[in-house]
Amino acid sequence: MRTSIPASLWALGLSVLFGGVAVACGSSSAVNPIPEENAGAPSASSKPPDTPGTPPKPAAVKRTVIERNPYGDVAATDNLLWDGDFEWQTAFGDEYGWVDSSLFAGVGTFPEIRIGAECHSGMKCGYIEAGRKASAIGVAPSGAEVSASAWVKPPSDNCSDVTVQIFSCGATGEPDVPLTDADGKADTDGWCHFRVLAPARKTATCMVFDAQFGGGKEALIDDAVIEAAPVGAQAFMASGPPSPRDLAAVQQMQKILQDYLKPTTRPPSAALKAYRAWRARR
Amino acid sequence: MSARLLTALASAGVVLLSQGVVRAAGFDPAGHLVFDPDAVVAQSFEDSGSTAEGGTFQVSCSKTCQWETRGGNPGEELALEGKRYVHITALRDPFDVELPLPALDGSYRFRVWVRHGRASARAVFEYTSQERDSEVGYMFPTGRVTSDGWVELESNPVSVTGSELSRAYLRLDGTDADVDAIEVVPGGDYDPGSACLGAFDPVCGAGSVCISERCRQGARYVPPLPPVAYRSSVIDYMIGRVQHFFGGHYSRTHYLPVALAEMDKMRTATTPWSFWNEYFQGMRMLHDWHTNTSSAIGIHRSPRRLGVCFVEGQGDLTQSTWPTAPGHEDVLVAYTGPDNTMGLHPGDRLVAVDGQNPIEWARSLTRVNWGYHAADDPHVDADFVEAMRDLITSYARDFSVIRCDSSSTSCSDTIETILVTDVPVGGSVAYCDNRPGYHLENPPSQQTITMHYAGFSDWRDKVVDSQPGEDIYGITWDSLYGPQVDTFLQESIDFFRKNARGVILDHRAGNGGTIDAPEKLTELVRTPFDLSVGPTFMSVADYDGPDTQAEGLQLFNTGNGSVYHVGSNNPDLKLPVALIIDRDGSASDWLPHGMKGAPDVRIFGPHQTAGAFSSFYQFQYWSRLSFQLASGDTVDYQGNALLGHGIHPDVIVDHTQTALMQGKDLPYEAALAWVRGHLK
Repeated sequence: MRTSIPASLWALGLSVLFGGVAVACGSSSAVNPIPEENAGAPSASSKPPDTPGTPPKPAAVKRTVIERNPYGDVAATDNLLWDGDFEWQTAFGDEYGWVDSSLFAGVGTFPEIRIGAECHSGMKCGYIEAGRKASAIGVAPSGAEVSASAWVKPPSDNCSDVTVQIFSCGATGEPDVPLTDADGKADTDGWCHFRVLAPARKTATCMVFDAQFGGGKEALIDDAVIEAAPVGAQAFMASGPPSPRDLAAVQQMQKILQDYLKPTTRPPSAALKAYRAWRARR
Repeated sequence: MSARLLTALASAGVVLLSQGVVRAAGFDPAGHLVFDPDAVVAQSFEDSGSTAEGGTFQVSCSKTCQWETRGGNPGEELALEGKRYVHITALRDPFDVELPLPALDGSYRFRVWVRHGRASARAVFEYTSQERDSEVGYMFPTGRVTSDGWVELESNPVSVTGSELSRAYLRLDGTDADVDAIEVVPGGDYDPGSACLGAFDPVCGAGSVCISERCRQGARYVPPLPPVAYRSSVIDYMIGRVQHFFGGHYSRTHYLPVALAEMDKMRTATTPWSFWNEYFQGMRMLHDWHTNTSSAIGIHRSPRRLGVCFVEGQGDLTQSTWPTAPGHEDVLVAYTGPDNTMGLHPGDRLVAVDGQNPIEWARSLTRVNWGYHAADDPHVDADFVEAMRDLITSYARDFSVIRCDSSSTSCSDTIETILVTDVPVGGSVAYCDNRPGYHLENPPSQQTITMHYAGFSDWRDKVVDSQPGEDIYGITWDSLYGPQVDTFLQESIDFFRKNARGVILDHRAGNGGTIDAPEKLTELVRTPFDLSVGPTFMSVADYDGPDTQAEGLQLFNTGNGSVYHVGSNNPDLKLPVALIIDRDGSASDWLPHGMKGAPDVRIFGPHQTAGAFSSFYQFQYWSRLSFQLASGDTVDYQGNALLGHGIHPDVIVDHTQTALMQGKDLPYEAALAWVRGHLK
């Protein structure tokens, strides 16, 4: 759950106060490092002048401040993904609620994390690079239809840069179900909201994100949710069955998950190996 | 409202409008951070460098730690406050910034902003008083972030006894992280802290815990209380993790309801410590071998080191003085280490800690012991007994013993109570591995014997008691972590096939590992069989596991999980193999599970294993706050859900006072006798 005021209201406030300076301020605003020469920032010690009758010259705004819930998207209190918004990601562990396609035979952890305002909510979010996939691990609602959603910030404004599906973690034959963004275009803040309301499922349910874009880029992922759909909700699904590529993505992740989810041969993560090496030297 | 204030509020408007929370540090309309005017320390790294470089701030950063000041040049990223900030890489060796706090006793909030990398931050206070030792205040995200990537970290109000302060500094761990705008602002009520003794010493009050003779203020180690606006959602979400995912049939039936009730007390918590400790205490009440909690409060292990290791057994010589407590074995001294033995010897008996049965006392520590570790099987106390000597020095006031005399094989009829404060600080003490003795030739090192450090060694050799022609060999080891031991185990199997007429596997501090390792060992002793399936996926939320064997069989036949394949096509079915167990869990549950029932295998030990037949998931928040939650169950080929049901020895062998004081290791002797009677 985000606690910021709506971006539109926020932008309106800034327009009034700063004479229409265009600033993206919502918690899902585009965020890039701001070079100093573009900022026109006053010195650190400068304060707004308060001399009566001499209105201050508006300073160029170099950043905005955003309030987040540091525990992430907890509005979905019954999220059935272990850690859908990455707030409890561990670099040192070996059993985390996300896996990526770079794992071989279930080996490794999920280190692809971004931190701060660039995430859709909370403090942390995940990312995938070109040609990669990531899956969130979860379970199915008990005796209810499945509401699934996720926010993705693709490298372009085209939501098809990334495909999103829910699938059976354990390859037990339940159908893969694509999630879609309503209009296929990223919102003004660059984020796509993928959703689906699918029939009830009986097996452990995971969500896969498959990067369809080219090299040198990345897509952010945040607020992935699987939960029981409200009673009476009308199921809606993407038009058409999953593509062969989508099916292949699921099969690849199922193989990885089958290895990952059993206590089997699994060397320590890179972070843990580094930590152990450090300990050994001391 | 003045224009200045209005614009300032607008910059921080989200905070004010949505939370009603006023932050101490603010931002001017342009987005520059403005330090709180009440700050007693405000560091923005504006100088050219540290004091060593002619600047005014002082840092420590050595070995692998690297740092530099950045900012103020075209093309560089913006500092949060002023022109410059610090960029650090300090994961292995920390980056410390001195904090020139006033020499006055007070309470403060500590803040720092970080960017790009996740950084762990804490304020550290060192004192002239040895009794006070050092204190800390860990920092967590407040929720304030900036559009250019800065993230605010803040501590709860923490007390600093400035009158005794020798050094205060901010310590940061992190890789490729930017740091700026360190601020120390008065806040909260000063609590001088105090000495205490015993985990439940009332002198500490509700906000502190007595650990290692000091009241440890809990707020130093946990995040701030979530704002009311979303507190209930945080609670529901956190409890939901446990409700939806935790455990298997036994643990959900027997432990989960009580744990959830405990966690529900978060809703009425009024302090950061009570809020978070209710959640993590509930997690500890899940009594699960794979479930654990961790926070920085765990750093306060006692410097006192009791050089004694305990095992469960029969107090056969002291029943008239102190009868065995119903439901528990007696606790006996198994062996001692080089130092701090307090005059205790093998066979002496621990009868009470703080006046309670030792095991009952250890089990009562869920509220204070964040390292609480329990078997799933409710009848297994081995984890507590193995950890007893460290629990005593950290959480007890005193402990009571009955001393015995090995020369007369008799024990005193009086109880002696020893104060924890009489246990020396420092010294060399042995590891506790539930082995009164070792029984293989050619130990890897003398340290293996004197310090009981055999857990990770590849120690395979002839049994010292093997007579000419008997060719009894064995392995003494604790890890079943496949990547480390699979090759060794395969070599051992090959060796035993060629050279041994009998085998003794001593696995009495079974730390678990990966299932491939026990699978490997079973290749020696049985033909192929699909013994169980698990840990099974938890398929749907809140699944309580199979209620009936028929439902279990359905799960087994579905194969919804990894199949535990035991045996091989070329076992040595005439080779007697004895497995000795004691404190064994996880993959070390699967080992006796896979060995049990094989034609020429016997399992020896004082009690069953932990019954930790699940997998787990890990969660880590900022500044060392983390937990691990078990999930799933294992179902055998008969449809039985195994979680919570340890694997029983075929032959139950208890230690006794008489045997221990005579230097005898009864489980080993029983195993040796059986192997001798069944030589290949």
